[in-house]
This record gives sequence, C-alpha cells and structure tokens, in this order.
Amino acid sequence: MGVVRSLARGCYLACLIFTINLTGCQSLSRYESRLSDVSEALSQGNLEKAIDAHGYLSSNDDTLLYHLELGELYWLQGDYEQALRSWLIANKIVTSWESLARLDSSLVIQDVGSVLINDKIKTYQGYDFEKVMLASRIALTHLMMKDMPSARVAIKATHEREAVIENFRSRQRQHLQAEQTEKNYSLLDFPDYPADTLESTDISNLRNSYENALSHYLAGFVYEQLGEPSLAAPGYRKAAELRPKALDLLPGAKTLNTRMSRAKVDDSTDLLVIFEHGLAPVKKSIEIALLIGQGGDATYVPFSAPAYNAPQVTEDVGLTMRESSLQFSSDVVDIDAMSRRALKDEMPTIIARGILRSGVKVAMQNAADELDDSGLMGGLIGLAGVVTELADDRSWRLLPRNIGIARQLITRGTRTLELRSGSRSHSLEVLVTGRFMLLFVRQVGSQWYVNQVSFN
Amino acid sequence: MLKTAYFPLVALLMVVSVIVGCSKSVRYGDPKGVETVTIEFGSTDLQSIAEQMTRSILTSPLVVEGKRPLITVQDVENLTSEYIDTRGITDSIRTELARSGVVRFVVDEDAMAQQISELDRQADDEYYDQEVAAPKGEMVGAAYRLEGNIRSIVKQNSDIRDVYYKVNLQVWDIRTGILEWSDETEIRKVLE
Amino acid sequence: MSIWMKQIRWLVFLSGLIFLASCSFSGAKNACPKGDVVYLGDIEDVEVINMSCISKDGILRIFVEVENTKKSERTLAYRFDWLNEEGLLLGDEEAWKPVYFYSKEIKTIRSTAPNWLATDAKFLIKE
Repeated sequence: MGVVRSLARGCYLACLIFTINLTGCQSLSRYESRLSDVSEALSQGNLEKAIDAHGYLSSNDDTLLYHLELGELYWLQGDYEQALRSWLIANKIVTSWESLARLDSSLVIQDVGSVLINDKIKTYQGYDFEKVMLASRIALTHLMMKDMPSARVAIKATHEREAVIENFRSRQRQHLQAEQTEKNYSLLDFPDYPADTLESTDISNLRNSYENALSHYLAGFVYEQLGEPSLAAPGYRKAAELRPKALDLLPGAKTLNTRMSRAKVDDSTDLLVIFEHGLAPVKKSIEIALLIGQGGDATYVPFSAPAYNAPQVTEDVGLTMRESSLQFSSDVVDIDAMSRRALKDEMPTIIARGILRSGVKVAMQNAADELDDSGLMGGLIGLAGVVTELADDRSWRLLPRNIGIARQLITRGTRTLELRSGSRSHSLEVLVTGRFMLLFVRQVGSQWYVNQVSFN
Repeated sequence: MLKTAYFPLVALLMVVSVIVGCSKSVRYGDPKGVETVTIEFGSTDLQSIAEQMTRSILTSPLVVEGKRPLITVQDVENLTSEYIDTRGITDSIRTELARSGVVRFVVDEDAMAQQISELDRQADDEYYDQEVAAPKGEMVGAAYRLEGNIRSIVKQNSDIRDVYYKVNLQVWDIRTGILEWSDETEIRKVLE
Repeated sequence: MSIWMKQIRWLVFLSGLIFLASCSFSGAKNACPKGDVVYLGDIEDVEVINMSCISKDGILRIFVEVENTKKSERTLAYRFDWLNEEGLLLGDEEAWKPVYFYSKEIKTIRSTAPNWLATDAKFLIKE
C-alpha cells in the first residue's frame, strides 16, 4: 500500500509542477485576437502594416501557422519570392509529418499526446485541408513566377499529399475502431455545444474535409499546358467528381482532346481566373460541463471544446467579362464548410482526449485531497485545471472563405472584368495575352488584390 | 521515495524512445520486383502491361513477315481518375519493341517540335556543311500508328478497396484505316 | 563407412533422380531444350507440372502448367529468363509478375520470347 501511495505521490507531484508551468504560457490567448491587427490591415489594403503586425507574433511556438499566414500576406502583396520562402518553411514541417504518416501508426499514438494537458499546447500541425491548400498555394506561386517545371513538381506533390492523407486517415480510423471499447461520447452528450454549426448539407455533402477541387482542376490545367493529357484528364475528372455542380459547365476532361489539338499559333488565350473572397471562419473555445463518475463521487468537470460561430449567410458572388461568354463557377472550394467538416471529424477524438484529461484531473484532485488534509493542494490543481482548459482555436485564418473559378478561350486584347461579392463590386481592366494566362483575384473587406501571369 | 519519483520520467522516456527509436534504414531494391506498397497504379503494373503488350505485338502478322514496319506511337489515353503518367507505358513498349529489332519507329507528335528545330538548325549554311546536313523534306511517315487507353473500375467499402485496370492497345494501318492488331490486358488489385 | 562416403552416395542418387526427371521433360512433345525451373526462396506447395515450348514463325512460345498444391488461395510471382543458343541470358531480366491461384488450382502461364534469338527459357517462381 505504501508503495502505491508513494507512487501516486510521485506522479502527482510531477504532474502538478508540469501543470503549474503550463498555466504560465502566453500562447493561451485567443488566436483570433492575436491576429486581429493583421486581418484588419488586410481588409484595409495595408499589406505592409499587416506584415509588420504579423511580425510581432511569436514564430517560435507555432512555426507552421506563422509561416502559413505570412506566406499568404506576401502572396497577396505580389512578393512571390518571400511568399515562397515562408511557404516552403511551412511545407518542410508538413512533409516531415507526411513521411511519418507514410510509415506507421506512431502518429496515431502521438495524436493522443495532449491527454494530460490541453490541445492548445500541442504544436500546431495544420488541418488536412490546410496541408493540401499549402501545396496548391506553392504551385500557384511557382506559376506566378513563370516556373512551369517547379509548378509541375508542386502539383504532383499536391495530389501525392492527398493520397498520403487519405491513407493515413483510414488507418487511423481503423485503429480507433479497434481501440474503442468504452462508451463513445458524441456531441449529443453535450447539450451546451452548438452542434448546428457543424451540421449543414454543405458540410455533409463533402466527401471528406481535405479534398480540394481547385487543386485538382489546377493540376489538370498545368498538365494540359505542359502537353500531358494523360495526367490532365484525371485532374479534371477528380475535380468534377468533387464538385459536379460547380465544374460541369467549365472546360474539363470531355473537351480535353479538342483543346489539345488547338493550333499552335492562334489569337486566343486560355484564361483561367481564380476568384477568392473573404477569410476562413473563426474558431473559438467554449466551455461545456461534463459529469464524471457516479453517485456521491460524481464531479462536474469543466471541459472546453473548439466551436465555430454560426455560418454566415452565403454571399452572392459573380464574375463576368464584357464581350465574352466567360463561364464562372462560384463555390468550387468552400473552406468554411471544409473547416467545419474537419472539426466535426476531429470531434470524437477531441472529446475522448478531453474526457481522459478530465478523468486524470479528477483523479489528481482526489489524490491531492487524500494526501493533503488541508485541501490546499487539491484546490490548486482544480484552479490550474480550469485555466489550462482552453480548446485549440488556431487555424490558417488568412485563407479565403470561398473560391470560384472561371475559364474560357478568350480573344487577346484588353478586357474588362466585372467582379461582385455580396454588396461589393469591382471592375478590373485586364490585358489578355499569351497562349495561356492565370488571373488571381482576392477580395477581403473593401480590398481587391490581383495577381496575374501569362505564358507564351 | 526517490525511486518512485523517477517513475513518470522513465515512462515518458520509454514512450519517446518508442516513437523516435524506430529509425528506418535505406537499402536498394529490385527494380523488377513485385511492388505492393499501395494499391495505386505502380511499377509492377506498368512493367507487366508493357511486357505483355509487346510480346503480343511480336507474334502478330504485322511483324512476323519480317518487313520491319514503320510505326508512330500515340499516348495511351488515361480514362481513369488516377494520376497515371501513361507515357511511361508507351515509352516502355516502344523501347522493348525497338530492342527486338522487328519494328522501326518514326518521330511521334511529341518529339516533332524538336525534330523540326534540329532540321532548321542544320539548314543554316552559315554553320553547317550543307553537303552532309540533313535536308528538309525527306522524313518518312509511318505506315501504322499505335494507340490505346487505360480504364479503371474502383469499388470500395469500409473494409475493402478493389481496383480493376484494363489496358487496350491497337495498331491501325494509317493508309487504309484497317485495325491490324489489338489486344488488352487486365489487372486486379485488392486492398484489405 | 565414413560420413563422406554416405554423403557422396546420396549425391549420386539425387543427381540420378534429377537426370531422370529432366529426361522425362525432354521426352515430352514440343518440349523446351532444357526447360529449367527455378524455385526461389522457401517456396512450398507449388509444382510445375509441365513446361512446353513451340517455335512459331521463328519466335519461341512457352507454356508452363503450375499447380498450387496448397489448400488456400495465394499470390505467387514468376518470370522467364530467355536464353540464346549458347545458353546465355538475352537482354534484361524480365519483371516479376504476380499471379493469383485459387486453392489447388492448376494454371497455365504462357509467354512469348522477346525476340528471335531466344531458343530456350528458364522459368522462375517465388512466393
């Protein structure tokens, strides 16, 4: 008995020191408020200020997240070299995750790593859809820099990454199914949780949280321009499988052969417009109560979970080009829905971890009460528990909320593009030139950012 | 007391060593070995398709008459939703047929641009001796063209993923439009 | 009798058996000149029943009947090594090709030589 008691005391002391150390961490402040200066400057069109404000954020604890956001700012500024530098740093972290994910189930074990503490203390690993978006962004940057060979490599990395994620998640699912013997809690067990923010047809219609129709369509586009129809066709096909409604109207696999046999010299440009608007949804930490134990020993433990705000009303987005029949499809990528879907898929694990953690804390508190008659120590732990208990509200916030694309063969010359997002509208003079051309427009607040490149 | 205080530390170290400790080593493998790393289209599929198709062409009447026909190769059309670089298949088929020495190949569509630029370059009499330079207008057109496609049927439930590939190749007489040879090969892979 | 002697006697006996086996192969109609079969590694419960060669239009075609004597289904891998008149390997090694067997199934694996120089083939099979 004495051994058990001293063992418990040892564990309890170690955990206590650990817990108190962690409560001192600054990274517990809300991610959204940390980023507010940046997103405000962004929607005012002051990118210099946004980059400055972002520089104040510590890059030590969350290298991945820091560089994801920073890359996006440089990208919008048109500073492709800096954007690429940041994103490649972020990409290195993701590729090291990938090589682990390819190997075995050690990551499955690691995923339960924050059992004792808190999800937010975990190093930010990025959501699956962010990893895919990052690869897509890198490909886009190479394209803007007119570096087709590197763009091809990046495109290949994009669909390879999707395959790795798919494989890993299915293994993880099997692992979890095999492990689950106790009662499974679901969101239904927490009436306080705003479950409706994770329920909509947009969310359940997604095949999974990470597959991205734009990345596949872009793969199709790049392979097509490189004269590789056998790789272009599956790109278009996959994109159309993911978003049949949005992409059926756009040029795709069906008309690929006709486009491939297009004359080497003509006066038209294969124009691809990517129109993005808004910012990725904000996540916050909310507190829900969980009843642990039975009868007289039952204790309510504060348990925090990440939640999204209620979805915004979908804004009407439009894009037309004067004197042309440029076809636009909004809603090719719905990052809002993907984010919610990712959280929904992760929720069972978050709950399981939270319950384990709460159980550990209750056990610690009981142990402390038992060891220390004054009850002072137990009170200390209870306090630490409340403070450390904050859900992970981090995400790549500067991503757009929604992405649409337009594509058509356009006769060369200066054209006027009319853009509309909700109540805002914007018109843009574009010189359509080259054999193919890529035009990127991003709307944030009152600002319209434009990147473009054409190839001969 | 001192010993038990170390317990959490030891446990932590054990977990860390399990995660970090299984470092992987590198070795060379057999490029011709059976590859079953993932269910996606892989090297074994490519090699066996190319081999089977080449051997089939070799026994067709097109070749056995010993006339060394001129063939141009078109890409195998990818009709699947998987990123398969079918040029790998056509390249392998062409190489193996060329090795057998029974057929000859002429410049295909993809290599035409390079061929033209080389002819243009040699036509420049400032740098090239025109007596031995390759003149324009003497390229020989193919008598046959090789084309084909790859299709797949993918079925999946929570336990099993089943992929079926079918590759179909044809050789067409360009002058007459007659189908001179056609063959197909199937591959089935199951992931459980 | 020394242990060595015993072993030599065994060897003589075994080589006699192998000789007889190869004789029965070469006696078959359309048989391959040598028609070697190589089982690689610890492969068990598989048997090559027959191997025959036909030369048509100067190209060697080969048929190998393989039986899976196991009671369960399995996937094996095979390849051919093509040999010229001098018995030398022609060209590159072939790729290993997977082949699926049901339990107790007898399957005929067929192949064609890569060119006219091949006069014989070796059949290799492994797990």
